[in-house]
Amino acid sequence: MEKIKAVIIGMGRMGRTRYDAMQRHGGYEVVALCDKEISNLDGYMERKFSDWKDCIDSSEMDAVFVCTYNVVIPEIVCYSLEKGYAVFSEKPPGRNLQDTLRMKNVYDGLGAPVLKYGFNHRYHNSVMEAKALLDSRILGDIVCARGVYGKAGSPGFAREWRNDAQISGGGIMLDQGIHMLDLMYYFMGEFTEIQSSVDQLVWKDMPTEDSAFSILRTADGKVASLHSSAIQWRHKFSLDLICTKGFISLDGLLTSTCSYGEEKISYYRKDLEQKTGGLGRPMEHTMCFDSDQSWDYEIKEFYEAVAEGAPIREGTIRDAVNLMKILERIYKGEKTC
Amino acid sequence: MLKAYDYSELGQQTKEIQDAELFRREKEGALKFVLNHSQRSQGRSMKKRECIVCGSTHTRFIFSRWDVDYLFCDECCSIFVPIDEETIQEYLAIKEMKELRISDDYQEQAECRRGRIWDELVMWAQFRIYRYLGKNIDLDVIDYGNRYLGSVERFRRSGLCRHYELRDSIMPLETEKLPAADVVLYMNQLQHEVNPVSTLQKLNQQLKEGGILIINTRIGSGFDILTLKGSMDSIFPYEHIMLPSKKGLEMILEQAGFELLEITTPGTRDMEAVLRNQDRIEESNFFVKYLLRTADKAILADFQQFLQKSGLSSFAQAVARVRK
Repeated sequence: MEKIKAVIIGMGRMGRTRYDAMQRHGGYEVVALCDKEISNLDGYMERKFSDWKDCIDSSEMDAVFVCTYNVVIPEIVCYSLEKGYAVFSEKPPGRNLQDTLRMKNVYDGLGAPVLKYGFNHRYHNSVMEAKALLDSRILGDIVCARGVYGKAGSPGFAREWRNDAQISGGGIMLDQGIHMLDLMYYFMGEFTEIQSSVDQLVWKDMPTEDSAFSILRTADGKVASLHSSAIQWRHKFSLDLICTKGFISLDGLLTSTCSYGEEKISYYRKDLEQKTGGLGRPMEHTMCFDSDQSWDYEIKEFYEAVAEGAPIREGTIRDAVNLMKILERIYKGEKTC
Repeated sequence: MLKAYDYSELGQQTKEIQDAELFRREKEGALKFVLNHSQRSQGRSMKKRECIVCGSTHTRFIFSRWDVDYLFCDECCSIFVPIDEETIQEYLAIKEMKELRISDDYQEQAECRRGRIWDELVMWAQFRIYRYLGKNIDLDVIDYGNRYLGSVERFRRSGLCRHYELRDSIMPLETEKLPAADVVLYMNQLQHEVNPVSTLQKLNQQLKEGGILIINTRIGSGFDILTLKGSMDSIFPYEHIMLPSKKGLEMILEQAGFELLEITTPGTRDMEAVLRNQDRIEESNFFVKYLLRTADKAILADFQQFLQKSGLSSFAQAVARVRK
């Protein structure tokens, strides 16, 4: 297996997660690590840097993993692309649409190099099953969706970097809600009409929102509602997908802490004649998952793009721009298109 | 490997899947053959009998039906009858049994009682085939041993098949001959197998590159079978001589050169079978007897769901592809 030489910029939780996934994959050679907080690199044997530019300029590599705060993502991504490296970047793709478009301009100018964003939820088992179920059209066409992605918060939540608007660019919607928005976009297509209410309902002293409700509509009339919340007080992931001939329910999400509950997908066929069950209780099919390979699938796709020239399928720059366009409109609190 | 559990609600099955009179005649035919056969009771008489799934010699008698001994493997927990291939082939060729099973009455009863189950099975197959092949139309499908016209017709009409071959079936149906398949269906066949690994190796060779095997079977590690053992009305020789455990099924597929993609135990009838035969449960099984005496319908339904989710129902289905 050809080895891809990679560096990781930012060795917080996401950087360490990507590092571990690369080790499991076996096709990567991590040649250098970088973090402003040098103690985050304790225990690693690779070359260590505290300055990202110094790290990129001093290392021989094929790919750069950008696992930093949102504010520096565009600069590192653009610099790495211009240096000729493949880039994997965490989401969100910058703090705002302007940041994302900056990266897109560089990407376009370089003739579409390898650039992938970590919209990791697409690789969760329940999501992959839902995608297969929808694409197979066994349950007909999707017409609407309801999603809730909520966090419990924490004692220091208001002071986290994620809620520092200068660094993150937004609150819970940009940090976590973007995953749910991405799934809705993945399943339903581009949204053209948006209504939203972005609020500080409880964490009043925080510069960013703790709740964002959105109603989204595609050009062909599909409708979605999304609630991104930092005031759920218990972690929650729930997504209902309603189709013309059935219904899919995603509930829970496997994470390292298991705090979003068991990850499962249930689906039901429309059964008005009550052939499979009582009225309102059609036969239920549920699948639960006891392992999360999402990080591995994601790192594998990036490897295949860099080493074998395969296209990036998920988390493209196009996806990133489309999502940030919607997010910008959600933050503006649009009432109509 | 993707591990998934599939379950559906209990209490919606209003009909037995067998017509009582037809089932009595089937069992009568099987009993007649078994009583006239010299291989009876060889399980207990042979001191160390190898498990036909894992090869372990740590096997022991678990129950007897019509004086035929079923053995339990302490290693892989599969249940089997030590018997030769020739006897099974003779059993499967019983003329009266074949005639009964292809008769209009038998097929009509099967349609009436199993039609909804087949509808669900076809939908499940369409879903899983799409999941692993990225398409579920215009495929070359070989269906092994299917003896139900209603099931055959559902698969043929489903849009799954560009070409469909029914192979090794008692049904007098003319179908195409395929050199290889995108999908091999091997449903309710493993129960007759004396050499399951060898049989699945042959199926393996029938698959195109990237093709998948869909297999389902009764399994010996299920709640109803391990509770009722020889009192399990629907398990009888030599119709059922191979009841692998869930682990045993995984081993068979592995040994036959398959990569297991998923295995689930979506059976919904364990609790019903145990309830129906509760007077036959061994006196020493205090827990199950207590459960049946005290639990209400909702708790029993939850218990059935727990069995399905935990891989403890006695019906398993798996999807596998040829290991590269």
